[in-house]
Amino acid sequence: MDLPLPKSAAISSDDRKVRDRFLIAFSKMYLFLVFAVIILVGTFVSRFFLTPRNLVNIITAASITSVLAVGQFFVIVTGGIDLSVGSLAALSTVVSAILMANHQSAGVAILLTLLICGAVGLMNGLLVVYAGITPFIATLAMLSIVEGFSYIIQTGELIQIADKGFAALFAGSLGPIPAPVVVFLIITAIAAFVMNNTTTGRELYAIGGNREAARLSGLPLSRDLLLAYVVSGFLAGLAGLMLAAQLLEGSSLIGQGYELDSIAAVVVGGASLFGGSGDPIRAVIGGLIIATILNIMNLMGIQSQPQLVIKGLVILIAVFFTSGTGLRGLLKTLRSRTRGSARA
Amino acid sequence: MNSDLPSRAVQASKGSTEPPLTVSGLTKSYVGVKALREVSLTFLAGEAHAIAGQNGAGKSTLIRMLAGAEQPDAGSIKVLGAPMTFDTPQAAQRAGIVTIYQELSLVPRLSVAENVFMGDLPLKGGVVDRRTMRREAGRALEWLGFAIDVDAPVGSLGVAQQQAVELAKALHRSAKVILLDEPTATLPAPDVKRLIAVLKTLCERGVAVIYISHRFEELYEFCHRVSVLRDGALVGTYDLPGTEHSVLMRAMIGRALRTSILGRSLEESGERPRLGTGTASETLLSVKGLQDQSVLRDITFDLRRGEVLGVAGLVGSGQTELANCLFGAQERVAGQISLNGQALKLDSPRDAIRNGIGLLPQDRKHQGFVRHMSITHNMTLASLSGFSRYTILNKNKERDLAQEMIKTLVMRSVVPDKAVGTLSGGTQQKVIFAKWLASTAKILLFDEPTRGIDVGAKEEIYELMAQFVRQGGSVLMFTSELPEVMMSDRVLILARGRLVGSLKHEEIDAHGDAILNLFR
Repeated sequence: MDLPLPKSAAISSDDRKVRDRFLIAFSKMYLFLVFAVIILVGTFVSRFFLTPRNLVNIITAASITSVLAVGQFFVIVTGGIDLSVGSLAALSTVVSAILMANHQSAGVAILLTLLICGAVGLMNGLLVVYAGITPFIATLAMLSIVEGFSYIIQTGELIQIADKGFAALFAGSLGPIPAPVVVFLIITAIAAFVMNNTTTGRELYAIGGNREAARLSGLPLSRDLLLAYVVSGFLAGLAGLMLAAQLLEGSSLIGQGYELDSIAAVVVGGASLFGGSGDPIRAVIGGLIIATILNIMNLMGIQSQPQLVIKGLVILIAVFFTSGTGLRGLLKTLRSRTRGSARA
Repeated sequence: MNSDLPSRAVQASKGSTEPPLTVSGLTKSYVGVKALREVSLTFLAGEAHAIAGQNGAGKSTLIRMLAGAEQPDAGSIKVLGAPMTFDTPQAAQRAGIVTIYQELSLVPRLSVAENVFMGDLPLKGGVVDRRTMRREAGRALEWLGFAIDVDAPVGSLGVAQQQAVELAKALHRSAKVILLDEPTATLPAPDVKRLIAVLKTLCERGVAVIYISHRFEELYEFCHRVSVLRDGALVGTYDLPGTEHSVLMRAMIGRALRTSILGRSLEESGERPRLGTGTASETLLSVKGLQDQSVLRDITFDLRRGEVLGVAGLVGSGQTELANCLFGAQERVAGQISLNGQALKLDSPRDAIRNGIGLLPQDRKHQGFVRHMSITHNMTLASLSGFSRYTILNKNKERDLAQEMIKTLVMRSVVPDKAVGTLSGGTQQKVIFAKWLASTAKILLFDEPTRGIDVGAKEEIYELMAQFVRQGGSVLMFTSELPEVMMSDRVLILARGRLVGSLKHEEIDAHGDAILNLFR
């Protein structure tokens, strides 16, 4: 292409460029810095903190939330939210336990469970895309439906899981690395690749960033949105399988609170609930940060109720820095306030 | 409360010989960048004073200082000779400086009277005195020359009427100085006339009006002086209408206008240059009997290869709807569209893009680009399949494209990774243009191609358009700006959703008056 065009006064500012680069680099790095600081704090607080056993504990504890957080991220990046993931994980434990209790092989149980959970995710997507129900309400209703449904098919009692292979696959270990960690690393890697290097990932960012501009650029909105909810449902199912293997039982009650944990992880990881920002790796690091703080508090012998309070505070602080006013904005406000009162 | 309300505002400033507003040595920096350098200006009572300058020249920074939204690093602001510090917008308002932004600060669901008295409701025995409120609001509006039902919710009014309400509100607050930031950007032409008439009245009664607009015609019509800012500094203050247009342009841009398409047309030379070659004859897109659910009725026309076809009309006569219909972004209820003689299935933007049609929407921020995404990613958004294999993106190819586009479209001082939201209006429009070039579009629909873009960049957008048609593309330019109408190869005139006329290449100059009338 050859377009000879006029040149007008160039307004370039090297200072500004350098500053922009620094800010971009810092906003990408900051999560790692926070994580490093927390690890440092942990090392000082307890001499058990940096032991291999404790680190494995942290990662294992975080692996289920991480898988859920990755799924949640696919929905949040579009500007939606999926509140049904906790109850879907519970459904997954119940369905897989029932199937195995009825002499199905672990393979069949896994496959069917993931299929069902993916289908429920598809339902969420259909409600959002075609029925025009806001994601919050659609998935809140689905949370209730799925929870009730799991309870009904469970018929009141816990269902034990006896299948050794199933337990080994999701709760065993691969050499020194626990199986749940392997699962979540694989899932995170795939998700990061999809979001970063495929057309679908790019489309999801665009849809979350500006849905109208995405539509007017010819992107397949409906297909992409449905896919996001299916991925979230599918990964909730996978997280449920990991839970079932850990506890060796299926129960409609065990998923409670997971939806909020997964949302917290994504948000602490820097994604905006308005969509279009963040990435799966940072969502997982967000989850790891929360898990590490909880672990440190356990080592310090803090009761579980204060832990809840601190967890809530951590989420607020993290969001304040990522999608809230931030320190710079706060300082600016304070400065103009104090200056105003000094002159008045 | 029975006194003549608006005059109360004015008397205050008439009684004093000091100018209502003086700024001296106003300076403001944002982390390393000097946005305003030692600007000194005096605004006189009864004067309409325009502030002109390109985007980034410091106009908005100056407004923010005067409105109390931000504080200067150095310099002083004096009201009637008394030094003032505006720590908050409220402080500026109390001092009688009222700023009216493009986005009006009215509450749509409240009545006209309630809006005028917002934050200052008259009380009688502890309850709102509605009678006084309605009477005073009505009087203020009448004074401005508007007969508006004071009980109507503001949301039900047109933009011009809403502006009148905003002005009435300002008067009610005893405004000595009224600052208007691009009040006419979204206003249809007849309403612009009305607003200007009101502003003239305000000046006659002693209010100082500070007026910011990209449209020079308006400045020449009623402003007494214009101060030009460039790179944060004051270039000079000129008398109007005594100063020639080209002088102001040079002051703004810092160089003489090239003998360009826009430059020539603005200098009103006898022969008006066209963007296209004017020799196009081969029909590319053909529209028959197009109709939509709301405005458009029986639209029939042909678009030829290599031409710029202007679709002229007042704001609200159906341009945006027609552009959206031709892009498959809006439902049609009747009509056929064919491309190269073949009937075209056009049910979604996807269909349009597949057939080589691209839309550059009027509302760029909400429809044109993804703010947080980089220049590169916005440029490839409409043609991702061309930059991927088995859905895996080829990032090197994307980057190469972005760099090439940045070079050929002369997007200065930008890096491919920069978020589009941080760019100027002109550069954003170029990013959208690049998006369609990347998707190999052959027909571009420009809806108000230069809205909100400053003069220097406007020129470049026209040059790009001209290049595009010279290389075999076709452009449909939906516009309500007269200079753009005059630049087209042919013109269709759209009024209330119908095509009411068309002008051939050679008729545009001769029948320019007819078009002009349309804009009156």
